[in-house]
Amino acid sequence: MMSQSTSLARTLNLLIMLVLGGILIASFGVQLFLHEEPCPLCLTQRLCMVGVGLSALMNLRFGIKPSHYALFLFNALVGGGIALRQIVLHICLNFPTFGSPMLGLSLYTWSFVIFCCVVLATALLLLLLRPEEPVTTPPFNTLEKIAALLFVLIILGNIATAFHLCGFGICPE
Amino acid sequence: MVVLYIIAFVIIALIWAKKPQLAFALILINLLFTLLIFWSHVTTTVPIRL
Repeated sequence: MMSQSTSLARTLNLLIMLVLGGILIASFGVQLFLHEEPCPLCLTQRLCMVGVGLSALMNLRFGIKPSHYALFLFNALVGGGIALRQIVLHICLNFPTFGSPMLGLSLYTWSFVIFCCVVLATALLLLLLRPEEPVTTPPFNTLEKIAALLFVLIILGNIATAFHLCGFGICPE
Repeated sequence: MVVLYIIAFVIIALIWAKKPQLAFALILINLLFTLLIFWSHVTTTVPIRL
């Protein structure tokens, strides 16, 4: 039997997956409908978001564990660092930004905000962690299966994008 | 870059196949290579002045 805090933690992990999935699909929308190809740094930031989503999936599949939250933090720190680097590259006044802004901020600035939110969410999820409880791994419900499928599709889409832009090597600057 | 996304796809397959240790290790390896790509970008474009 799962405690209330573990059940809430599972729901929040699922929510993180769905929100990140939505953001990654929105970035595909910008790419396909606004015809803005992602830059190499944008692709690495997307990869870190996928990494956070996969860590959440590990929590849902193998039970809530502190080591999975460590993966959240590693991915968020690397992704946030890359986003910060891109912000710094374009921070000077009269220096052109990359891509069109959304709600007043560039996509890489939003990316930095999202990674900061992931760090905050991880801190909140760690508060819900009950190490004395045995790890339970109930089977996936429908929403969890949808979230996993969403990430499969996102990763396949990104494989196609990365291959189209960079081939098998490192993306040209 | 493609290879890293292919590894991400493999990670999902491993999670589905209930191989937690391998999936965990691959997420870390993916992150390490992401860092290496980022560092190569930093050193070949505008260098950081700290």
